[in-house]
Amino acid sequence: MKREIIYSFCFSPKIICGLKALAGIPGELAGAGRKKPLIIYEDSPLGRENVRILSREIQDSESFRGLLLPLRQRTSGSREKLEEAEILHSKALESALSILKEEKADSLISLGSSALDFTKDCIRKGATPEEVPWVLVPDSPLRDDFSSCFLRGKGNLFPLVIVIDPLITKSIGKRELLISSLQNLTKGLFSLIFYRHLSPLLESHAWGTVKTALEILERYLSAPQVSDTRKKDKTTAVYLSVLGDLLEANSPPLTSFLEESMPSLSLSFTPLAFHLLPPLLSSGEVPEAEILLPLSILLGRDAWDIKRDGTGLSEFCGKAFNLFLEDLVQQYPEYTPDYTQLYTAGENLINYAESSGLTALEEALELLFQTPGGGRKI
Amino acid sequence: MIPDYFEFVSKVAVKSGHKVLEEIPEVLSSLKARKPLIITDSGVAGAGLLDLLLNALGRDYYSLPVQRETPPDSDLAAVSKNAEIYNREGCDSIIALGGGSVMDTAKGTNILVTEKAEDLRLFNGAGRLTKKLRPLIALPTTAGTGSEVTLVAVIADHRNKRKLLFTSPNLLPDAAILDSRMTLSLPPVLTASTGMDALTHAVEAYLCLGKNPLSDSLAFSAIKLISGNLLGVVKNPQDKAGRLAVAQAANLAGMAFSNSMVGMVHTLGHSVGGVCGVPHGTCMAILLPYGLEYNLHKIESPLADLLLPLAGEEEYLKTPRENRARKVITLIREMNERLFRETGGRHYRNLGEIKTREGGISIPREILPEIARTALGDGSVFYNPEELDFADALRVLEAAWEGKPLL
Repeated sequence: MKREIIYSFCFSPKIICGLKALAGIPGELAGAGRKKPLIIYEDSPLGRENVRILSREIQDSESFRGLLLPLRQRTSGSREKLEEAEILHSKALESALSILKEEKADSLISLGSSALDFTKDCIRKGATPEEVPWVLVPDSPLRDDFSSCFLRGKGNLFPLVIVIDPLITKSIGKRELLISSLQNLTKGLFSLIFYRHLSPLLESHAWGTVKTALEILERYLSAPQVSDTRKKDKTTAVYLSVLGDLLEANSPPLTSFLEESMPSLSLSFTPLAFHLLPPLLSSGEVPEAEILLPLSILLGRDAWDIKRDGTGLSEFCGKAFNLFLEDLVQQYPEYTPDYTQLYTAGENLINYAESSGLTALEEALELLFQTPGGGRKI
Repeated sequence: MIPDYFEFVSKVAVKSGHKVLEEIPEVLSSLKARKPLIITDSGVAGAGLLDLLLNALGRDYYSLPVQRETPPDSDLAAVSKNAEIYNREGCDSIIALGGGSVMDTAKGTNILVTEKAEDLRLFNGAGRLTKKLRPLIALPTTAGTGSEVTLVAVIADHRNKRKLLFTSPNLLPDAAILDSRMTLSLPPVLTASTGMDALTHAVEAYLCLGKNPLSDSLAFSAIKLISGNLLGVVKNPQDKAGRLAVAQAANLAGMAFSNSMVGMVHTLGHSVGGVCGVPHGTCMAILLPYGLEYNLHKIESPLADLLLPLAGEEEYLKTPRENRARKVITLIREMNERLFRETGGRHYRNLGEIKTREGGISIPREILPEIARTALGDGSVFYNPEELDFADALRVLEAAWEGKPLL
């Protein structure tokens, strides 16, 4: 019998976000019958500071008995250094697995985003998350330019809890905050434009992603005088990156494709995909009622006023995103669009859309990149 | 901006479709479940839904134990009996097929069989369950409660005349299967009241003090789906696409309120239900516009947001910003009015017109003070945007009894 599933959706980690969220870790582990976690962190000033903060926050928990595993800082650059990092990684992995077995650690805490890949390797090689539940405590937005996206690959790597505490996210800089927010805004909008019909859950989380990203971006792009980020915005940026991963885990691989195709280009995914948005939004291919109208409201302009002004919603949204881009480039000139690369990305996308049978996407992109005379435009 | 602190959990894998029931063997297999106990009730079995499930389970799950005797109001005795069957038959998992009562009974049963306990009362309250429970698959046959994605169970303790609340993330089912065939036979009047229950979950989740950005997104989508489909399925119960949309809406609303809590509509509704035995969905439908009016001065801005999913872009655009919140309330009253007409007057619009089966008045006016007093003991009152005391509660109840708006 032909199976007919309209949608299937899963996001199992609990999210705890806000001040004193760290203090909830012992309770969450106790809820799963665990009290002896192996805490994995990077052996760096920031990593050690994170450990101090965690210790302070959970000091009232009497039954909690954590074990610490510092990871030597991973290096990058020369080939030799990379090999050295691999050796360090595998030695640390052996230690971790040995601690899990011999010291009877019953759970893992990945403290700081740099410990994430290592924790995932522990789970892959040591035990399943059901046997060894793990807690993710990110100190920066989850990044997509290497494999730290915790959901990527297999769903069985889901952590038990994701704890986002402003005490741990305080070191995030403005640039990191902006770029990760742009990235997740792009993910949200791509999900809405191309995949919202797949499930109401995907659509609702995509809107949540776009709304949260816009709140951050509007503050930091339109106000260059904001030299430092507020604690709450840093926490929000990390939360937003979790939402972005949630979308990734539940949508077809459009955004993954974008990211995977980008290493061949010198510009990373974020600005490239983001630069595609203004023409896409103003192309007339994006539905007005379902996307442009609610988007214009999120952009802070009442659709009633826009209509009264005689401006089309697609024109308005396209312009609004162009303004974002201008602000971005003004503050960070390295994000000036390279039109050759944009064109290449557009062509890659068209090919992808064609091979995947995504006719609407293909048509929208053709419109974006092709002038009526047959020439290409950007 | 996001609140200073929030928690969100929704571990349930949701599968939704017109023939998604056929996925059940795969879901059971992924949970390493070989012999589930099926918990349902006689109404669901009589409507042919149990047969649909058994057919979908196929030969690999032949001759499974089935408990058809779940009472309309889940209680300790039913839970104990189920646990006995589960253990006697050597089951390793549970399939709950039914409405809210079946879901709650299944969750209670799961506590007893996992904890190898005999007295469910030992686990009453929040956070008393530390073990992962046995695999539980929820197949809702109504579209309203959202129990298939909530972390609570309410079980009646008839001997002590009280209801026991159990709360734990461990109570969340492992999977929820939303199949449009499951709600096709739901009568229009029940479709209307359970749909309004789901709408109330979504609206209160969006407006109450425990809201968070994830529950907001879910509530927004749920309202849009209910507004676009509820009236249609009441008019045409065989509309499969509409049925699935309302089921999805109830599911989204369940996830939303499970993570945000609710407000005074539930505070008063629980009390009306408890004191007078009026169905929960009916109470929600009637009380929702009154709760919004009472809170209006505190919720005007977020309530105005809801005009977009509730009425669509045309109505949103033509309504001046300052009128949008009140327009939401008007539209909800109009929705009740249209459901009243479409159900031949069986979907009630005010508390005073609710009838007993014998045709008498269900809620005598003189009992309203008792309802107001009982309401103030309900936990949801703490999440209401505005304070609510006895006089306020009584004023709202009297208005809802007469059918006179507060504003």
